[in-house]
Amino acid sequence: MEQTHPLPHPFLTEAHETYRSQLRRFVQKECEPYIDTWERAGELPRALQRKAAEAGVLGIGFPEEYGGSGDNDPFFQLIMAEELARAGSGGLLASLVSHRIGSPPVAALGTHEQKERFLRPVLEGHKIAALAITEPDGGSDVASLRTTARREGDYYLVNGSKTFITSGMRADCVTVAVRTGEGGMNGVSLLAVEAGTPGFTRTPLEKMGWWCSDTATLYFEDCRVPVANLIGDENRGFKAIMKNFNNERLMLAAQAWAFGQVCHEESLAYARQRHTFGKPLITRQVIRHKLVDMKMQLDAVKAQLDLLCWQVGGGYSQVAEICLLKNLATSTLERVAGEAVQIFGGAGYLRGAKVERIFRETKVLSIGGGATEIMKDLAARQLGY
Amino acid sequence: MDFSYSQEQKMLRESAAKFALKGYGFERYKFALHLPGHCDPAIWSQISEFGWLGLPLPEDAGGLGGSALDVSLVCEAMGAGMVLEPYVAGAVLPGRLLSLCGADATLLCGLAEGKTQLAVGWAESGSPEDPVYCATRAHIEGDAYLLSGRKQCVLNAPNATTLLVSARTAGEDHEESGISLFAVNTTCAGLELKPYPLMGGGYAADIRLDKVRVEKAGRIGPEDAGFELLDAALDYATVAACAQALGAMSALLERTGNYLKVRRQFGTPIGSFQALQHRLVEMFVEVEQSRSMVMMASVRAESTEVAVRRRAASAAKAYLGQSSKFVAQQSVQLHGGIGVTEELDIGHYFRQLTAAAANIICGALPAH
Repeated sequence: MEQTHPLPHPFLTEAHETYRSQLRRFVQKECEPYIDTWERAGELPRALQRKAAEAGVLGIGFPEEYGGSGDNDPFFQLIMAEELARAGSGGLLASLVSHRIGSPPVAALGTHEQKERFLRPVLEGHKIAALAITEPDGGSDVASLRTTARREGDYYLVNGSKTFITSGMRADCVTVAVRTGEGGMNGVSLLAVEAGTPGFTRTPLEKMGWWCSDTATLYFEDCRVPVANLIGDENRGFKAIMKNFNNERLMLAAQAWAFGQVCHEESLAYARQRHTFGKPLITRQVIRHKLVDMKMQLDAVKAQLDLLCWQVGGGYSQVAEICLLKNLATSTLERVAGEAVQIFGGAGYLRGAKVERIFRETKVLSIGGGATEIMKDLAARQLGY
Repeated sequence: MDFSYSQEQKMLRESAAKFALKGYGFERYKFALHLPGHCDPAIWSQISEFGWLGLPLPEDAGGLGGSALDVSLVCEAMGAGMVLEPYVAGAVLPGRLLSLCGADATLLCGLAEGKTQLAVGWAESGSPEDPVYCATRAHIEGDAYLLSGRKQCVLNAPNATTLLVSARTAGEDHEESGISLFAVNTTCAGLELKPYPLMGGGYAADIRLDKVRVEKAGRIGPEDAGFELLDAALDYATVAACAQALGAMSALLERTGNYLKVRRQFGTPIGSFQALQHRLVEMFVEVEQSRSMVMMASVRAESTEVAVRRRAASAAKAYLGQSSKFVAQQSVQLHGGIGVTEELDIGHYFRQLTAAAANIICGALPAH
């Protein structure tokens, strides 16, 4: 069970496995013992960002000159999701690496000065980044966003609100989608808004799961953001947001699969140890069948996940396929987590069991980053159906 | 509410089971499968002697005046015994239609005595699941009607001596009013049949009527107001067909349960495997749910409240359409390879239930 890849893998190298071991140590030593405390606290400690940066969690996929790994191989992200998931907390994954959705626009479109201010400190673990797209009136329909940024001299005057923002309470710099121009997709820009900017306030949101991730609603009231914080060209933000979505969705699929793996592993161990009617649970045929069904479904997801990571790493844009994979992976997790709790029985209903938490955190993956139905619509459109 | 059967119903049920399960059986079924029209005249007259052909007919017309529940009991037994003879298509449906129309005694007695084989033609290619749709026309000419049009998939038509068909005496093709019903002798000039066998047994035919002459006395029921009678008879027959499917499902459940006890693998009866026990339980649940649906729909099949009757028949059909397929498929799966052989009755039940699920008398599933 402990052996992670007993057979050679076509896409993984020695470097990947070294990275995996490094992350596994980090999760075992720095995360697992404290998860329950963080869950109760409703947020992660800031000190964890520093430790994560040292363990190489934060820099993956970002440019070397600003503290990143310089490597744009999606398999490192996949391994990161897999290993962080072993702590059994979606909130840890979501919040610790919220810069994975907040910072790519800065890395891709930002100026040298912006990268020094908004990217380097994040990758080094000194600052926390977040992404703010969704508004109380709309999420995936980005072209209809209503938060406005009106130019006034060297500032933008930002008005509106954003909600469901991961790491929203703690974030030091938030990449905010705003309307600077006409209605529709051609009037959208991205602004880096720093904590403490006058007119920028936030309130926490309580959730079904992801407790240790601080989710927030952000309010902007005549919030003055320097024009120097405009990321990329004015009115050209839509494309960057869409590109960001793609990677986010691929990683949500990776998370769903990784948490499914944890469910399978936990259930298998429990079924071996738990006795009912004088025999271990695993001796019951229907329990074994549940376990092999879980494995079968997870293996199928992993096959497509590996292939898409390889294709995306090779520069192929696979929008429809990523949408469909997200649906497959998240619906699989919903089934697998349900069966895992069933195998655990009453013990799976108690706080403290990994499967209990994962079960509560299935829906956020089926909804966040574009709900199942949005994914279907987008895939159908992309495929020309 | 008392759901127990009356003394008469218990006796009817027992005698039907005795006939279908002991007197009939797989051998008679296979024998009938090689006869023209899939109907053994000896069996048909036996069913007539029991009085079951006249079961839904009023007593003054030589029938037994039975209820829809009585008919369901007989149909269930016939489904269990895989009786191939067209009881629902050739007796229940036309019998109910004639009763509702208040047709004269000649046809009714002929049916009850097994002398007249009947079939009901209503479906047309323009809208094959909707009895309202009727493009076949009947024009009055002198003292007779001239019928022209086409009917498709008329169950039991190749065996019939008389066809009961819907034809329009007024109105547009999609209108409820304007439909009348006619008894047409199959030897009439201008009538053409294209017969074909059906999956799961039985025969049907596509029919072409080209100025077929029917005397005015050949119109059964009121002029222009035949639709409601046809619709009511189709609901009644739908419930009977569901009861027949229920019989086949019960038989499969019983046979599968027995098989799990005798078939051994890895040194133990396969019924000792937990996964298979669970599947058998799921089959049991489906059979019992289906039984409740059939009982509910039987009680309401003669309701004068049209919406109540229609809803009940549609609900039973929609449910049985799913459950009969489920039970049949599980049964074959649990039998393994032997379940798909011609030698065993399991595969034949499967075919009957698959056909029943696809089309229980009245149209394919989505129409309900």
